Amino acid sequence: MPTDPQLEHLRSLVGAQGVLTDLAERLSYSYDATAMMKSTPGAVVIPSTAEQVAEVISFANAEGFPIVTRGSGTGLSGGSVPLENAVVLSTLKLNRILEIDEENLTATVEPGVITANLHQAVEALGLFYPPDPGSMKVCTLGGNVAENAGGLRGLKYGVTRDYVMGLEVVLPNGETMWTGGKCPKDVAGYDLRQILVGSEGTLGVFTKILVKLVPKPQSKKTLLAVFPSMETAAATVAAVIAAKIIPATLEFLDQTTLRCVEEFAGIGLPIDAGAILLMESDGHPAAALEQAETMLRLAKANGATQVQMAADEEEALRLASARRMAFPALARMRPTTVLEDVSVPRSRLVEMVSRVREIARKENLMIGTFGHAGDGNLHPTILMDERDPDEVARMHRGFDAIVEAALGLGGTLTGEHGVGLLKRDFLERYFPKAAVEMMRNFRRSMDPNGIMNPGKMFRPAPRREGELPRSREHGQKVLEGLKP
Amino acid sequence: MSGFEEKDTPEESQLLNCMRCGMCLPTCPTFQLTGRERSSPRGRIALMRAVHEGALDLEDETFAQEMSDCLGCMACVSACPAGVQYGDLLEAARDQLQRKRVARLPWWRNLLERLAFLPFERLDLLRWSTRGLYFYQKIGLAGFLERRGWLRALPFHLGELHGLLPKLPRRFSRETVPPITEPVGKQRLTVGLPLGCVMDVMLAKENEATARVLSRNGCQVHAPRKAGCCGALHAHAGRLEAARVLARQMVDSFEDLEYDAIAVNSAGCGNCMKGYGHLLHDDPEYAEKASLFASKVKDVSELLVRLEFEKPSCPLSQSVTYHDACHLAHGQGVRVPPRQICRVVGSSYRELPMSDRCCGSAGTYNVTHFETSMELLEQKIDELESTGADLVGVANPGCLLQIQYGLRKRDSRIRAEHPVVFLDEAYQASEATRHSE
Repeated sequence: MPTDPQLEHLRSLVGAQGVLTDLAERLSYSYDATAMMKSTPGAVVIPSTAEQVAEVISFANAEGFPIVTRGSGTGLSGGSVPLENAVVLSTLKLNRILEIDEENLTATVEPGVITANLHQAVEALGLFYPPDPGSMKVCTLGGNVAENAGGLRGLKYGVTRDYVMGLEVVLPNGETMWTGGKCPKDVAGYDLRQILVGSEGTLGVFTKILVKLVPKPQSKKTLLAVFPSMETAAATVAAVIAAKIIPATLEFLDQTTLRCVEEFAGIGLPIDAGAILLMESDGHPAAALEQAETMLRLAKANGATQVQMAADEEEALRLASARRMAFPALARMRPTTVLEDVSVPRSRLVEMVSRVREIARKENLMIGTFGHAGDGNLHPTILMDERDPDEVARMHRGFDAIVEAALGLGGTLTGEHGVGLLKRDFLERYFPKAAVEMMRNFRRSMDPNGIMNPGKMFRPAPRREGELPRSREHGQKVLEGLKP
Repeated sequence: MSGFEEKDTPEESQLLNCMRCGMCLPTCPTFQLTGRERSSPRGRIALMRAVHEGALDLEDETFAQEMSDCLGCMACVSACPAGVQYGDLLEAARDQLQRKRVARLPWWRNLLERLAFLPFERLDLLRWSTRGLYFYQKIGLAGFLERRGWLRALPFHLGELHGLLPKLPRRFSRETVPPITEPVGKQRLTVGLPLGCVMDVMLAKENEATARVLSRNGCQVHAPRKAGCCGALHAHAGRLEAARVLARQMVDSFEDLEYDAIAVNSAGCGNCMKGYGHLLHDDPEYAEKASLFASKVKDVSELLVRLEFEKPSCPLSQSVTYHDACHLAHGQGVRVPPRQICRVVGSSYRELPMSDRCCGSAGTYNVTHFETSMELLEQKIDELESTGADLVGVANPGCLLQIQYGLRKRDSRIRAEHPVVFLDEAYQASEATRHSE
């Protein structure tokens, strides 16, 4: 918690309007979009220039108080929840699109630019910035880079990482550094840019972001297919990939999810179906059409009971609405919505979905699963009531079991939401000890005073040498051993 | 340990339903102006939850300020994936604050506030005072003071607010709309038309047009004299008990009538009346009656579209656009029907950019938060001008007065009216051409 003289100095750096200390103000920055997580910050600082960001960080480093960077607060892993009464640094005022370079196909933006606003600006010029996280109307590019956000177009177009060409970053010591540039080929030195993407606010604050653009696809075809089972849907996905097609979108909804969607929106989905797939192809009109027709044929051949291809934009939107409604429809079922984000190799998707079903049965939890069938990233969504301690305990067990299952199938902890606070306890299960140690060392060398987003990504380091207690009994034993 | 007091508390399940995804942020006018989380729906719900959980005092100044700064435009309700009923939360929080305030304020402030709301409960008072204002305008005193610029010296923006006052009609709608208007041709529906409070005395023309247009489309229109204020203004200001008294009166005033629908031409009132079931759910005597009444409430545009209203054979020669009143688009989810009317009354139709962003009127917001309100109004007028349209349909009295004021101040050639007024004009124009042929 910053002291009064420290706050006074912060005010001198960013102006009195830019420092919020009132309790109600601070409470409104105590959360992001992660369920059941909040922690009240010591203050909120809202700089309006990159220079002010550097001055604030430099001051925090000198005084040793922690900083948590926050964009729109739409993160789903607790990455911008301010632990340790940290000072929240809001990037929302750094919101200019600085340049769209049509010759080099790049855009330079400030971190507070809303993703959808960049989409709109570049698409007006016939260009395309593909990463499209679900919150794109709200989230900021700074947050997208920090979390390496994905989206529906990940399979064909990749994720945020694939589009970041350069970054201006204020390092934890307050120094401003530029890395990367407009050259698609650039192999000079270590690629620091890539370690900054997905660093979850632990290595610095971005003040400028240079992204790659591509030409906007000329046309798009949309298909919605209904399957009797998850297996038949997955067989279709496999057949599409085997036919050498990489669809622009390949999304699935499981039975629980599609029933919720139908109950909420009444768009005419058969509720006895086992799964639905939303498939889209894009590109040259002839190519997009040919691919769509092949996908339609493959879906039917693999047992789809119903396949619709949109004739026009309006119908495409209607078909896509089934997928868009998935999360809202689930969220309405119960007071608390816990969103999971594991990822498995595409070929193991069916197994993963059925594991989730088993876990739901075993722990008596309501879980709807939907997600990106094309890239194996799925979102089992646990619907519960945080006021029921028994249900909370079952949720934690189910959550743990889902992560275990994904790791068992050769998957990863998180496909696009990040580790943050939500999965920091799981990191060591995924990485070998040496990798975690290397990451910790890297972080320590970048931020020796530990001021950037403390408590995130890694379990807090042990305060003493030796093993951490693994359970209550083991803890007792350790304590026994410590007695003189 | 909730910081809220037992009755009319923001519902816990609604507070928990907010999953803080932030989808409401880009739609919230106050968040867009300030960029501060506390002025967003997500922030406001978080503050309500903090009070509920005892982390923040109900009498915290910032909390009270924020609950008052919200326009109540409900744009967030349209955007919310989880279906949080923000409007109900806000009204409950305001009611809680209002009760605290009453206990704290000096007697004369309470009396003043009581007096401000009194005319809506005692309609004869409203009529007397509007009549006074009518003569004030009629004898030229209003224009004289305005030209002299003396009003500018008045405190609390009274000078500017003076400009918001429309030219008042000579007669109230209860003097011009008959108790029963028979349908033209075969009777298809029996419809109740509450003449309302402000609509009755300031926007008589709109009520007259509504009755005529409905009757032309086969409705027998009943306008009972006892149907007064619906309580929307009270509920919005967190005076839920007063709103309930008015809601009961409203339900009672249609008790003798076997109606198919209650037609409402004021979006704010329609939204409030559609919520009577919720407002009176604790009242054993009225709960059921109120739900039944609420289920029959329809915006006049919804009703006309359901009746497949007659298209005017000779539409107006000007182009038309449409502004979504918050309580119609966000509150009631009615967006298409009024556009269907606006599309056929003029020579062409143009869509208004950001048509569902609040114009800043928001009940009494333009009185209580003048600067913010005017900032939003300026944006709205800029967007209206950008369409190049000549006419704009506005289906709510508050928005209508606000937008007419904004247009007047700019000397704009655009004319704002209720869509039903345009439809009525187009019918009359069609009649006139038919007679001249």
